[in-house]
Amino acid sequence: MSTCKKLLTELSSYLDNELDSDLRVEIETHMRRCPDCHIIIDSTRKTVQIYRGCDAYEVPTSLHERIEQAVKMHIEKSTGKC
Amino acid sequence: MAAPDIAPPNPLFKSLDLDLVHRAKEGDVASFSELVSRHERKIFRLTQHITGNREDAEDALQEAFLKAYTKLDQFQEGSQFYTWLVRIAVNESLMKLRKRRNTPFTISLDEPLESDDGLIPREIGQWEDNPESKFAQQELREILDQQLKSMPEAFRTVLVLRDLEQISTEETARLLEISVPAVKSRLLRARLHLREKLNKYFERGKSA
Ligand SMILES: [Zn+2]
Repeated sequence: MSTCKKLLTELSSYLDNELDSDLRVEIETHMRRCPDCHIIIDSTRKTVQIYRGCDAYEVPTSLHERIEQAVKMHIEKSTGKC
Repeated sequence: MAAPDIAPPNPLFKSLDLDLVHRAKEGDVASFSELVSRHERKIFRLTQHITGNREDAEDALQEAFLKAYTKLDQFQEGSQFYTWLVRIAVNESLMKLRKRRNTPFTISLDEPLESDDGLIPREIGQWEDNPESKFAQQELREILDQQLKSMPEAFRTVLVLRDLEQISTEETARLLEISVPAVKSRLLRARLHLREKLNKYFERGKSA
């Protein structure tokens, strides 16, 4: 397996700090010599960073009320039975 | 039976989830409403990212909270309420997907999609140094929403759990009923897929 391909296979584990040190050193050494792999690692790291930074979503009032209504209806149904 | 009055929010806001769960279990609906308010925004993001569809995301959100309420007595107070809620919301979202596709979740994702071809990057360009500062949050959200939709759902789901919710690989595997190596493989492919899609927005010197 070429080093570029190996690096690609281990990319996720590398970013998550899950590699043993030998493999890590091998990847970092290769990265310094291979501009493409350097770019792939850098842009994938940034991709994860961007995705993690994504804000929580605003819930419209109508949707929030719908949820509360559904819970209330459930309560009424389950207490109204007896 | 009339719903109990909403308690003054201040002390409730500061309470921990478990206090609220405890009170909700004893029949205090206001405490459950407070739990909804605390978590609905994050859970909505999750259902939106997994279903890739606004209507399904709204329904899944509602059903997740309703299910959480009806199953509250099954919640183990020693565990984390939010994680428990995430599990329910993921299942509700997957059910929406299944219904829409009319196919089981475990579609033929193990074959062509997990071949090495999908791994080979096509777009290779140096990215900006602070890519996230290039767009306003709202714009970024629209970009991500749109690009996630084009991602196979099995990849998307793993990405949401691992990178957004930061749930461990093992827990993700349990939740989705797939193996740990499958989680890792799908996460790698999901990240590479998203990288490829985002390249045009963040490559240095490009204005997209
Ligand atoms: Zn290389």
